[in-house]
Amino acid sequence: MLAISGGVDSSVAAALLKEEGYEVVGITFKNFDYNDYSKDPSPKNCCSIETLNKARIVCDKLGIPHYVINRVDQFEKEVIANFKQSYESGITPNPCVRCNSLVRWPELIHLADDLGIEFVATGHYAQIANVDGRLLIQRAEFGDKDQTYALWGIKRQYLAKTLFPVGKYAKQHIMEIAVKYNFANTSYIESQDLCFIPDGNYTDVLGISSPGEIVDVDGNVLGEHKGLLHYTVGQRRGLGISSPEPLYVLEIDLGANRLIVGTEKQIFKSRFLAKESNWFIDISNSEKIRCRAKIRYRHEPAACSVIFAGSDKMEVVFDEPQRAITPGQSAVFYDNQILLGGGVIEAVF
Amino acid sequence: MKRIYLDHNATTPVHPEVFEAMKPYFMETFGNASSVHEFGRKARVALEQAREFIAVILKCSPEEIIFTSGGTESDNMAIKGSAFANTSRGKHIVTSAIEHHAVLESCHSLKRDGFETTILKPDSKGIISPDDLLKAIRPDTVLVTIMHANNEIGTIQDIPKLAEVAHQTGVLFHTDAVQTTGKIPYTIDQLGVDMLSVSGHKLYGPKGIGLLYIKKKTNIRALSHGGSHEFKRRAGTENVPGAVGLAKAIEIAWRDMESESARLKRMVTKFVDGVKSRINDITLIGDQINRVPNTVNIAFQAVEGESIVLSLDMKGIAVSSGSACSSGAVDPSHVVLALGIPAELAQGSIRFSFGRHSQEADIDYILDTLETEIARLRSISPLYQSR
Repeated sequence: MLAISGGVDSSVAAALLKEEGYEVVGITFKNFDYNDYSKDPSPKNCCSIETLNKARIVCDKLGIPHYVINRVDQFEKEVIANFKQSYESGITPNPCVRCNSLVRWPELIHLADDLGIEFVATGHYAQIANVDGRLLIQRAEFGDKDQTYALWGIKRQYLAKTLFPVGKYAKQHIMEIAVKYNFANTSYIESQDLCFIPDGNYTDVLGISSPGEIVDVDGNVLGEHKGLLHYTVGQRRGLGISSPEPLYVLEIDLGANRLIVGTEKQIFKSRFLAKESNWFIDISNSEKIRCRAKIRYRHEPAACSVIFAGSDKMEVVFDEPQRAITPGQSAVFYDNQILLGGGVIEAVF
Repeated sequence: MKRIYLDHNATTPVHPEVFEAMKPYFMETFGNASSVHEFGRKARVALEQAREFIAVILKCSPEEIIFTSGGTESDNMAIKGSAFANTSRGKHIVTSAIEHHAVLESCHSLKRDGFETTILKPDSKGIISPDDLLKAIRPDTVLVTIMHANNEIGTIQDIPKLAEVAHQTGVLFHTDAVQTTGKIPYTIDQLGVDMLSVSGHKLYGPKGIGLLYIKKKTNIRALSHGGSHEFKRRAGTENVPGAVGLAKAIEIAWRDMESESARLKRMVTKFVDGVKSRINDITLIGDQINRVPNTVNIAFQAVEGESIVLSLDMKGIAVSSGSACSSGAVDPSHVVLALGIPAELAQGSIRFSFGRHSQEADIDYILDTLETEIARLRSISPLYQSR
């Protein structure tokens, strides 16, 4: 059972699975009511009604059944509500991580079980590796497309049923396959926008927040911010302050409705606490492990020590200070190419 | 794989006789019915003959029939058109909780124009009580709209009685007869309604054609403007092949109704008896007597309707659960929920709608497949195991 969005990657995943001899069923989740969050009826994001119909056409071309499954309630509860609540608490969430962990995989596995289907698959650039008899997630063969960052929350027991057909290929190769199959969506441009905010206009979902002061670490007022919802830790652009050296958002102080900014140097930190962790390796007898941590989607994993503190919490200490460690973002741990686990950044020191 | 279509309430294939009747009106008699020349006159004749033919069967005047693009447009025209035309009387509409979305959303859209809607709840079998209707009607009520038979459960309403209640208080009455036209015999005068919606593709006619019956002198405002087509009630070049096809479909339906209805009743009874004897823990949804002969809705306890629909589709049997939307996703059925059926049972409800091509010989295969799939789904259902 393949989660197919109508985009290039999952369409090619369908073709690859068929080539490998699998019987394939395509599933597209309807996760929100399209009109609620978009003013544009044909946005280029992954879940519009337009791409959904593309998924249907691709499946028809390949001669496989395709179903659209309504999971609006689950998505609202697990993803959108958390997204709103996070921003309202001054933290920057990873909705894609929550969707994979709490909606996409559980729902795919459940439905596959119901239909007597052995495997679930997605178009993510990731791989499943067998390391000493244990199944683990491995980074994509071509690192620049790797999407394992968003997969750390999947339950360990689901890996035996999970396939990532495109993970061992370069994007270029995937595009060639798309051309070969004449999937009309090869011109489709990947969007950085969130699926449920296709216009990129967060205020549509989050509402408006009120302006306040921008201050430095010593409390000196430097300017005015246009509402804390518009900022995230590490942001440089759009602050509207002139200063001898570039300034970055260091902290979002929700209580005082203040944005605390500082210099490049001040934004580097070494230590943070993480919660809600999920591990693919056995950590029950470990107090501490050495690995590399990746703290946002575009971050080169950096060497660190992870010290376990209670059931799902840990303290992480980088060998070298890292730029803009942001509460709410995922911290994802790797041993070379292998995804070990992850957690949500809670507090930074 | 054997493919069996049991979703005739969603749509039907065009009857071969309908297709034949329509053929000349695409390439030969292609004229614009409003044109003065012979091309136009021929098209006009075909259109008006279709209208007259339908009027004879439904027992109304040809001028009371407005061709539309289908059931949804007819419902919109009836509801919005009469609401906007009668604001001097008031801004209140009465409808029911089990209406098609075309009705519910039309009423809902009027909210922004200051209209209020009272939504009547049916009883557990899906019947709307005339007493409840009487209580809901207010001095400012302009329209009552209640469907003839429901698309999901097949339950038939006592339209003559409900229309009479509305008329006692001088209120207009509209019925969506999309699911009854071609399935049960009726005439307009029997029903006593002011407006009635019909869709072509539900009775082996083409998609893209329907009609709205509007009783003479009914105050209604046009929603689309342009030429003076359809007695100035719907501007736009007439769909001549569609109208011809609809007339033919109605002719065939009325011609074969007695025998086809008896055949369907026999088949559905055999199916329901089979389900009852072979599968435990089921609930028949809706009124089992006042029901269109082709439709049966069954809830299978402790399994999800979605999984049943998908499993059966993969075995070549097409059924539905809830109402389909443009995305093809299955949304929870507002109809089954409105009957007061608990949500966990409602989600396991499946509509089987038989039709002209359904064969009694297929019933055993359908039952075998259904029994196997339900048993399999229940074997992995924690809900069923824990009972």
